Amino acid sequence: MKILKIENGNGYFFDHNDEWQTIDTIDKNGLLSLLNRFLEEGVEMDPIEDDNLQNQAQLIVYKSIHEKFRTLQDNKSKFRDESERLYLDEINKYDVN
Amino acid sequence: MKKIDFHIHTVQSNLDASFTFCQDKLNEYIETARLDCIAITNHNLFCGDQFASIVKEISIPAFPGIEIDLEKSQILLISDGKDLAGFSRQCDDIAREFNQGCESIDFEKLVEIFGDLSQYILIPHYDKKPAIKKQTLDKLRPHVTAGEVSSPKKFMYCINDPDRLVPVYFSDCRISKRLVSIPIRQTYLDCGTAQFHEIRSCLSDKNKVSLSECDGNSLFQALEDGQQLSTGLNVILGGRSSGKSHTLGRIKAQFKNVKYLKQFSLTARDEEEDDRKFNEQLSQRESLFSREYLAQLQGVVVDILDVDLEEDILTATRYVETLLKHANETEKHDSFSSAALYGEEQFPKSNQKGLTELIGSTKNLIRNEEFREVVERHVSLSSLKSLYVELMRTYVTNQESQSKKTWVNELVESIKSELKIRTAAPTIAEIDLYRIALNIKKVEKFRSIVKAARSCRVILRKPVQGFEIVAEVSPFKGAGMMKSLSKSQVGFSEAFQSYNDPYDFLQKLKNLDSRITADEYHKYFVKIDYRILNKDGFEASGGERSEFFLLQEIESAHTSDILLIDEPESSFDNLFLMKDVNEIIRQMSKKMPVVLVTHNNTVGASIKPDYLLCTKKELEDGDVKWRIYSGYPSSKELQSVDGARVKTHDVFMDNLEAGSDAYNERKVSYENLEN
Repeated sequence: MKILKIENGNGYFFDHNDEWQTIDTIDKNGLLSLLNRFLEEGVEMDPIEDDNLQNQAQLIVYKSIHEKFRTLQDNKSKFRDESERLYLDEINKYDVN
Repeated sequence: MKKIDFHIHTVQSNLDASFTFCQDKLNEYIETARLDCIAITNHNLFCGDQFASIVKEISIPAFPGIEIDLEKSQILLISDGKDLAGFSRQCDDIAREFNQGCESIDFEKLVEIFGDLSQYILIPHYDKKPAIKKQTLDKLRPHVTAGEVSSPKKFMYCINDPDRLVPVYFSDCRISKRLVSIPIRQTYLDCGTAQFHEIRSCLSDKNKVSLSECDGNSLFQALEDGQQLSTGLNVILGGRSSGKSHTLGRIKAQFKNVKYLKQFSLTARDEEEDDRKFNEQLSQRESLFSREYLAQLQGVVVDILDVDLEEDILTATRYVETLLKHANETEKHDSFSSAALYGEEQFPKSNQKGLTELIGSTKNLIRNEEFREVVERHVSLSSLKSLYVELMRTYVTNQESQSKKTWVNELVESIKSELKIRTAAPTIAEIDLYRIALNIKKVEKFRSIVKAARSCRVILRKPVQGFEIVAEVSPFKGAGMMKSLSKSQVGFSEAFQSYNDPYDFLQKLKNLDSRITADEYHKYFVKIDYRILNKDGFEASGGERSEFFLLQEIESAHTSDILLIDEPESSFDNLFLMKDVNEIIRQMSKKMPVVLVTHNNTVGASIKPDYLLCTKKELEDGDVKWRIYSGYPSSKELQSVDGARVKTHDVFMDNLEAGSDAYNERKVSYENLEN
């Protein structure tokens, strides 16, 4: 599934209502929704190529998000691992269900 | 009666301070102390040649022995000396163990080296450091019947307790030229000859050991010249400058663990000074209570230290100004400032404290064995476990969500800062309104907590020895009170002006001299005063206060080996108060030797001493002679160590009744009054 795309010189993100919105309208909740999709399923993101994003504000936002997700790619399970390791033994011990 | 000392060091070991053995000093010790038998017991070694030479030089029997570090304690092992070469070889084996770095051998090694332990006299450190452990003692039985103690008090404790070993009291001295004071720590044995088997037999019978030659365990030697004291209550009488306090000083020098209450130490002299000292002493005694009372306030103060309302107002002002500017200068807005993330705020940090506490409580309910039945009557264990698991899962989900938000926050911040660099629009200053609002609430609560903590009331009523200690809280009335609490030269005048607003006051404290550290700030918010009320509920008088402190001091002597009190009556304005003091002194003397100096008849006569001492400064052939006459109060005469005698009746008359004439005069006037 694609979460970031570039079309006609504009950057877009796939929001929580499954609709495409320009990247400069994204807020923190939009970012969180992208992160959840990113962690739960395989995602695609259009790369930035020469001049395919002309709007400079969109370029800043798109580029930052794109890079941040790319860095996370190799370390995708960190959120779950970190929290699930907590008290793992105790959960296993007491889990009567 | 045979007087023995079976704990004498003549060779320096690595456990001793440096010393060189002196044969002449040993001879002097044997002669002065009139010893009948000794044992040489060096630390983890035995020097056969030196022992043979000592035996030749002295006129009394000496037994070869060794003091061994055994299972982290020490034990004397004494041989009959019949096979000196064999004993020497065994001790060499011990020495070898310690030379190889061993710090303490075990029971098995002891048996391996010395074989049948029944042929020796074994005396462990018992009521003496480092004391033998029960497990080691159990292994050594039945070969151990006697144990070494470090004071007459401990000797008596063993004598009176049927379950304890037979006590022995030895010098544990190093015989060298530098030994100035001849030891006074020896034990008398009720045996006809100083033979090994006879001594060993005496050491298994409490009726055959004693601290004195003729008076059993009623008396013990307290001074080098042979002066004895009772193991119970001793009263020293004597005129002014007759050497009473000096005698107490000499006794003090002979013992290690002494409680010495000096003359006038509790006296009230200047009312104001006395009040101050009294409050200080009482506050010190009750400091634990003050600390507990102020503990929560201290926590709040530490938290409030991080709050800076002034800085918060500046931040808010900056925020409003930049926001207005941003709104007014719309012409400067561009695509960068229009991006949604430009003005985005961070996800706030979530706090899982409540949930973690709940998880902890649930865990306690599951683990608790003591009240398992009660808990299970209401909630089944399996329900609790399910609850625990669900809470934990919630916790895990929350943690995961928080990690994600932190990740997003970082991203938001980085995009925002890039957008800000590019835009021409005025930047809106950062603000954490939640934190600012929380700070305001914190300060409000802080003010009300301090107000409540310092509202005047009694917070403690504690009965102590017929008195009542009362603690009261109140606000400080002035800067001077704070200064005296700080015990420094720091001036509190400026800070005190803000005292009514705890938050402002705290800011002023922060600006004070660094001699007042942050962990002490809380003490300046609430004043705690202690008072002592007498039996009738009234404020204790100066004399009553002295009585209270004296009782406390005497009580605290429990852990000492001997209690010395110099003229307790000097601290009292009303001698009827001495009644309780006398009673507690008598009680203490049942547990340890007590020496009381007095020149007052109310004390001296009513306290009923076990032993009476009278110090005298006498002129003999133009020379001043200081003597101590002593004896039982029931005996007609008291005797000094050089044989001089005085009549007990005269001693009482001269020292307690201001002489016979004054006594008779008083007697007549009382009779007249009666008639």
